[in-house]
Amino acid sequence: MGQTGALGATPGTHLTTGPRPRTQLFPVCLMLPAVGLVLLVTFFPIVQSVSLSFRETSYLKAGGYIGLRHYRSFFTDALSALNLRNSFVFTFGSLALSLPMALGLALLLNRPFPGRTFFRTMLILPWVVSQLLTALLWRWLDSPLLGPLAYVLGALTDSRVDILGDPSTAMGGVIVANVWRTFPYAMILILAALQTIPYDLYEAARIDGAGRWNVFRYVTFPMIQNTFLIATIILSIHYFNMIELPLVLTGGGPVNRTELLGLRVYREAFVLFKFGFGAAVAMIMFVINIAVSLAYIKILRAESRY
Amino acid sequence: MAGKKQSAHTAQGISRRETLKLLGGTAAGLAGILQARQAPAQAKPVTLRYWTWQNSADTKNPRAVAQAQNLAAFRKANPGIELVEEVIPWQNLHQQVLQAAAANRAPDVSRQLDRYILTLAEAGAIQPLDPFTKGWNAARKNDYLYAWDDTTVGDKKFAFRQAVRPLNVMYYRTDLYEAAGFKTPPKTLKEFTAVSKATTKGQVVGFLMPFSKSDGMSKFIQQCPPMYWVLGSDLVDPKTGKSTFHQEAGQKIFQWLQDMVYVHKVSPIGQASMDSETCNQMFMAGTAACNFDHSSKWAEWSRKEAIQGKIDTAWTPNFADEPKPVPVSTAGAWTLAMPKGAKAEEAWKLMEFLQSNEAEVTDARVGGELPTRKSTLKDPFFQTPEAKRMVGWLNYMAENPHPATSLKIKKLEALVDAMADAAQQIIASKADVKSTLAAAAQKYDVQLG
Amino acid sequence: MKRRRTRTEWLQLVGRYIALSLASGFALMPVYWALNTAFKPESKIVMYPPQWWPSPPTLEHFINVLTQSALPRNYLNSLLLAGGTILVVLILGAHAGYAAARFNFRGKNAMLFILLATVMVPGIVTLIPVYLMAVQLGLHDTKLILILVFAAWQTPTIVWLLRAFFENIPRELDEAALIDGCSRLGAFYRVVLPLSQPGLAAAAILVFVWVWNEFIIALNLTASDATRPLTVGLFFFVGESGIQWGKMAAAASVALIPVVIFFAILQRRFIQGLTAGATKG
Repeated sequence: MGQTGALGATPGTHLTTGPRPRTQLFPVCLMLPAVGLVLLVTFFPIVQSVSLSFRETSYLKAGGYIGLRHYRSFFTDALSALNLRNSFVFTFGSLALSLPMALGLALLLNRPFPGRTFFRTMLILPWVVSQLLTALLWRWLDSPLLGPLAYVLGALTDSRVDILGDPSTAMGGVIVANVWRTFPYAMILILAALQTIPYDLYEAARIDGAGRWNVFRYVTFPMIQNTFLIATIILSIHYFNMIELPLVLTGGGPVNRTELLGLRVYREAFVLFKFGFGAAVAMIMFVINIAVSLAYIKILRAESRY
Repeated sequence: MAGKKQSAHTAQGISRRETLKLLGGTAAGLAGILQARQAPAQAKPVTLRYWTWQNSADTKNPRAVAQAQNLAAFRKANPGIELVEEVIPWQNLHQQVLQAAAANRAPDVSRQLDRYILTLAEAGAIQPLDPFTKGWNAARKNDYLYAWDDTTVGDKKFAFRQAVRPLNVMYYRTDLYEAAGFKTPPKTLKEFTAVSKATTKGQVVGFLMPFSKSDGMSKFIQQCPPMYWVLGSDLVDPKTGKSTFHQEAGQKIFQWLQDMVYVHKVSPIGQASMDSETCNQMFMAGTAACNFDHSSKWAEWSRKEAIQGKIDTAWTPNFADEPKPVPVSTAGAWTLAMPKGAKAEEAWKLMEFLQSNEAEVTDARVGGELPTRKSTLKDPFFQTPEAKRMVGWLNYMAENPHPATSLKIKKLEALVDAMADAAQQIIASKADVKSTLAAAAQKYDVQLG
Repeated sequence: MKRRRTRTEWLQLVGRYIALSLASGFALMPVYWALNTAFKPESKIVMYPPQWWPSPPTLEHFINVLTQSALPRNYLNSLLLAGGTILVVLILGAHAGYAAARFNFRGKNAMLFILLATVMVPGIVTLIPVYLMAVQLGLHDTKLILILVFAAWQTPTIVWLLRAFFENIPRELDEAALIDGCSRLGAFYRVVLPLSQPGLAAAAILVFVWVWNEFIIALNLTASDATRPLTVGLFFFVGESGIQWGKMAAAASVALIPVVIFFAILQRRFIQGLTAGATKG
């Protein structure tokens, strides 16, 4: 009865699916508040940040323009190279642990079996814990004074184990805490994608005589490839920009071995009150983010052509 | 039919009743408002915000109990002031006040560590107190046990101390030291090194010093000045403000600290990332044989279960290895400051109250805190046997004074940052002491501009 | 057709349980340790070797946290902030999502791009200017600025989420409503929205979890107990009680409760929220 309205333009409505978008006020008004708020809180501050990064600052007052001096200080500072290295090690190290774990657990949870909901609930739990709380919890666990981990490891190696205090193991401790909290996110995404694979495909492959590994490689993985990629992208950006977890867990120490780029920004701006310099480092982070995101978008576009 | 008529009537009646009610209500409302306006203006209590790092509700800590008593007394004496306490961790206090002051959301009175007063004053986060002290005569100004200039910046007074206390107190385990053959506490560096080695066994650490940046390297920055002084040096040059912490004296100090880790195998490598609270906790739990801190901790620690009856205090050993007493360091104590935008009159009332003789006696008697004013010492409490230890501290301070030079260090946060980096490398990465310190000194000097 | 499992299938099943149990143990261990510590009396906490089960258990830390700290106040603030943010985000997000789902108009792609591009912006970049802006506007240390900032960060995700949900609702329903005499907005409010309850619920819980756990923005935009949310309160509590692990563990446990409860009850919606849009091929 009202079917004619669905496709063509019906007077009185603007529900068109026509090829060329028209100028319509109504939907723009609907979207404007959301876009407006985001512009106000995200984009205009970016402009201000850029401006700050070119100015001299003293405590909370911004002074005159000094060009690229902050940027130059950053690149000539030995600590900066360490910050960048730490950020990349942290990001890739966390991905290397969380993605396989997420994939493996998603595969295990894919088929129904008694207790599946229970396990799924337990495994998603870390994701709802805040970075702050994660840091506190792991600080206790790793504490050489009263943490069970240090005790167990100490008993095994018969020496005093201080995971977060030893420069060679501190990053490992931070990565483990990070993986603990974030693997559920990738797991859920991959699991959801796995659930969309029709059972017939598996059956067909098995009838064809494919072994488990080949089933995974030629049937399962291609179907979830896109989701896997999306999970990787989202997590890697999340990891690269992370501040709260390392800030509370180690504060960037020992010997700055866990000071990620974001932590450097925070410390320079809010502890040493060098807002201009902090803004410059933040801008550098922003540029890296854009570059990586653009690369990802390219990869996504290429993949989705199949 | 009749029902309808009735309901119409009722409907009308209701609406009329409703209208009357509405009118009546409005009239009553208006009358109420008018009356309130005409009523004598009852003084609304002035809200005073006070930032402290101590939770008054903590009944286990004697200092907190003393604070609670003093604040309660203030409230009683000032019914027109509503005092609101907020607890901010001491590691974040100066940072939070700076941020809040810029936004005009700072508290009216805040406790601040004396060594950050310079930073806060230069950032304009706290206001000078001279309008309140200009009426004071010389005698009043002289009533203090510390130099007036300790808390001035550019000749303006910015804060008042809440306790004048020695920072270089060595808390130690009497049982462990006696077992190591020391019936009296070590007085020289050699003796201290020896007893530390002897007491390091099993889970117990003989000596440790934390270097984490998360609390502004608090313990070390409070303990190291006297180490420099006995060697004839200091952290920075008093005239130019430039680094001197990297020179010969500093090299000796850091080399010894490094040796304590790698040569004498006393201190753990992990101390590079420990903070003061962790160290204190180890001492309280009995896993550290000694701990360097200020005198105010005695009241609390002497009551801790694990170490009760097993600890005592002594003076820090002389780093120059001479059995002479070490000049006392008083920098690293709490002060009261008035942030920008405070309700000055009422804020000053609180500051004055907390500095009154009565309040200081409460702090001393209940909390074990040393007073800041000479007039307070006249109180009979200080003649009682309870106060013996405190009097001992006061006498030491009087006999071995030293100007609190750390309070005049500019951009202290930058110095701490550079020194902590260097210290961590020296301790955790066994870096070369001389070059690491030199790099840190340069880093700090550059920031001075 | 149920047949008896073969030996390999039994082994696989057992293997699966073992793997999942190990993983679950890993996932639960930190939370377990917090609870364990929270119920232990202070003297038993710093014990070497550590005690794996509190004996004797005590409630003193919980009582302490609930009566002697600012945490209950912080709790309330978090609830208010979460509620306020959810409201703002749902209103802004639903309208924007509807526009994106139903209409094809000039500027749509640009607007969607702006919303998407926030993913590329690390939070720290805007933290400094937002702080300065809040100071200049006199909104520093108010719940309003926190809600606005939180909403701005969550709106883009929710727009995409709700758009996906709206697209799943047949257009015919909108048109039926229009033919019946509804205005365009009316069709939205009366027909589409009620049918999108699952999507709205998913959005609400996602926002709730994010706001509840948010820390660094709140740390720098608040200056009094009246506005501080639970995360900042917890951070300060840690600094203040530093050496009183029992109290800290109790505070942490208390902070975990709402999210865990919410999550347990609304798990399905939560998962739906996280996966919407991301599993499209």
